[in-house]
Amino acid sequence: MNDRELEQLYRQAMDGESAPDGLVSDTMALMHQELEKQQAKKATSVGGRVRAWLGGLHGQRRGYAWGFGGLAVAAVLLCVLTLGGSPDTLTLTPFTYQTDSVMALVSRGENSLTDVESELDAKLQLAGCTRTDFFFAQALLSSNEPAMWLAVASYDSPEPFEVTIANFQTQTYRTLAGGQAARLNGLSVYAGQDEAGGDVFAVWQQEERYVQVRLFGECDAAAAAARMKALLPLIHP
Amino acid sequence: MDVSRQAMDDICKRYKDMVWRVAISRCQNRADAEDVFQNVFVRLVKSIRKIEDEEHLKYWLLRATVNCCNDVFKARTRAPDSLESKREQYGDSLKLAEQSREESNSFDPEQAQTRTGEQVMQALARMPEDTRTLFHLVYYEQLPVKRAATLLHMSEGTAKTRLSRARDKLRKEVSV
Repeated sequence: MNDRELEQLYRQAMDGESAPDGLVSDTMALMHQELEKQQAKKATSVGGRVRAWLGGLHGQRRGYAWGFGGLAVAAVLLCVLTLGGSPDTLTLTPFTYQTDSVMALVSRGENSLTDVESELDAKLQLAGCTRTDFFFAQALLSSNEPAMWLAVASYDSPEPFEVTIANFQTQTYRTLAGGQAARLNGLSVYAGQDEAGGDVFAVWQQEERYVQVRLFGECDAAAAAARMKALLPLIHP
Repeated sequence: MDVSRQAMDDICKRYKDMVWRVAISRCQNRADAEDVFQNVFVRLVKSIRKIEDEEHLKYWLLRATVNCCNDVFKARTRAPDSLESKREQYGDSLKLAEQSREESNSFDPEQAQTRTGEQVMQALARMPEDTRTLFHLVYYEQLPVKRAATLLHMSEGTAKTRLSRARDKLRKEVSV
């Protein structure tokens, strides 16, 4: 029997399989419910209200609204850039990604941001995902350590998410599947230090479809390490 | 992509058999495949805004189906191994085997073809789930090996080796 015949046999056997009608109609009902839930959430969210409000404005007034909005965002960015990044402390502002999937990568400061970004892109491409957003920060954990880049990308994928944990001292990376870690400690996933004991930089928390990235804002390396050590038993019980 | 009820229903109708076939071939159990089927389409509602085009949608659905099946396997390893769950898990394969035994007493060319098809399915059922899914994605969904390998988180080389071994094994078992 050649490959073609084998393929043909398999196709014929599989052609007989189709989704049961009852299951399809039940699933459609579930989809409608979920759609309503999503729409209700969107209507009550701040973003949804702003969009609805903007939709109600016309011509010049809408232009003014966008202009003021843009100025406000620029002012916030300026404040963050001016105040952030002093040595010996992690002065990164906590931020939230409202997305299903986030990937983080840490690299020594000797590498340029472009290197980090392309490495992250290569990992995403390997996983067959498309990058939808990108954030980076530079941090110094102590004056003896070279600066490090923390790059975070959100990506479009049905995977829950994936976290890469880096050990700066040994320069090793280990990838934690979101589901695997979530199983260990309920809904939350934390990343930052591996078994060999590298430095600490971040905590990740997942709440349903929210992935919150908390970056130990305004606490020094020792405090961050202590906090992370307290969380580690949850990751590696 | 459009997120109206009608659009979601259309997607469900268009891809229902594709999702079902991947789920049943990976799970080998109707109850689990039904759970996977529902989970995939509910997840789709949550992610539909990120879907760019039809090709992306198809790939997303295949990937989500594989992921949802993996969730079922994880839950299965956590749950106590009751007799009932064993019966549910292997019930469909056992039924198929019984049918095939009953049919083997008489000869009919059409039935013989069906029987050979069932032998293929049974032989596949004994293979690891990744090999089964890979076989299905490549030979039924006509996905390029590279794309199917990426979807299953394996290298193209590994996928080719597994496919070749699966074909050899099937040929041996079916020709016996």
